[in-house]
Amino acid sequence: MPERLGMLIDLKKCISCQACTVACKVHNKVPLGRFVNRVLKVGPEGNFPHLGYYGLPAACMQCTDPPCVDVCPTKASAIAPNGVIMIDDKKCVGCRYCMAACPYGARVFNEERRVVQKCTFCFERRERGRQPICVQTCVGGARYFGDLNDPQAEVSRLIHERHAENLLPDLNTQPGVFYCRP
Amino acid sequence: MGQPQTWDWKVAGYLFLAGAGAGAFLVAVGGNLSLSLSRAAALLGVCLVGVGACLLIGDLGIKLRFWRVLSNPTSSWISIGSWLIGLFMSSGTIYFFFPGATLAWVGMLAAAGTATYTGVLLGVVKARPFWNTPLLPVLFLVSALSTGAALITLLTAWMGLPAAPWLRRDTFGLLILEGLLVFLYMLVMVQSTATAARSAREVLRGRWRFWFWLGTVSAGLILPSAILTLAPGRSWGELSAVMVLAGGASLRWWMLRAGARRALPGESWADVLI
Repeated sequence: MPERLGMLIDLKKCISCQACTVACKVHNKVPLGRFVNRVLKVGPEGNFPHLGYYGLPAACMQCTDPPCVDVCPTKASAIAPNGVIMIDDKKCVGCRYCMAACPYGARVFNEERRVVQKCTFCFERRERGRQPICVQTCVGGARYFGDLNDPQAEVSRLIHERHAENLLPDLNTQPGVFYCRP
Repeated sequence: MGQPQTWDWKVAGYLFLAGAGAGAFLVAVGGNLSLSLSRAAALLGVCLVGVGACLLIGDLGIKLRFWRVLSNPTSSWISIGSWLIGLFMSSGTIYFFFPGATLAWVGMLAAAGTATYTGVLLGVVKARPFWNTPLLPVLFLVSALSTGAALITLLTAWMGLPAAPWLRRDTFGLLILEGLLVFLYMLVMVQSTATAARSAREVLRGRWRFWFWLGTVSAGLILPSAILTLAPGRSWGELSAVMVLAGGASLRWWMLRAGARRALPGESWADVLI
């Protein structure tokens, strides 16, 4: 089976420290005020004394059926053979239709380069055989990255064992990013 | 963590100009108005759609790459729409110089396509439930016709021509239809998903309430229909035409801006706006 890159984020291990947010911004040169990867603060929720809040790291979900790719008028957005949604900077005209179409708010407009930017699972780090910067920098070890089509991979095993879920599964975008409940 | 504004006044302005320009062509040529008026309407329509197209290109991140949109004609509604705009502008221009029945039909098809696709463009976006309904292209088409009729009213006055007797009655009919569609639209949205209902509430009672109640409902629908029924004078007709245009522009603005996406856990309302 061909490689299908994906990620599992264990929300029990995320401590909302925003280290991945910062690392992503620095590494991918995301402009001021824009976030390709962010950690949303959910809560506090519940009833006293059983209150809590958790962090929800959210970036591109690398959908199998991506609405952003469907609406791209120049075919700049495309699914790479390994399942990662990539933007060809040379083809993107910056119309931002994909930003309107993405249900996860994962795409941002890069005012400096005048094109749309998104998470690529750190394409150039993967080229060098390294993991995405958010995975490497995660303090709590909450992120697992690997080949979803390889049943032996830690990420696939954990997704199965922990009954990991997708965000907004009813939209049937079939994301490659999974979450374990907090 | 507010994410950026995706589409702003330039896109709303384009949606309005494309609708009104194509609508003017449809009303004049489809309504068999005099040749001089039809030719003037073709020129006006082409100019307005052209200004709209310039706004759209001006909104691109890299403007000089706009041709790339045309090189994949069926890849996206932006591409299909760009071709429709091109077809309307070229057939409208040729019609202006060499008016004929065939060109009139080609122009009208392209005009109907241009006016409708602006609604399809937003309507197909599943991520934004306030837009994601087949009612939207219908509403945009009817609004294109009403604003188009308003433009023809003003054009007739400006050219000093006698007003077509049916124009006033048909404008009134279009406004009634448009009002019904706006009512249905909000009724459906208020009772739809939580996100669509929130969008509808922001339009009815929140951030866009003035655009909706003053712009679209009062200036765009109620007052002009009342004027067209009660005040027979030509200058009253022209006043109502200006108001219909303001209402159509307001419609595009609140419709565009209220199209929110469903919030992820922890996201605020400001995060999910367009």
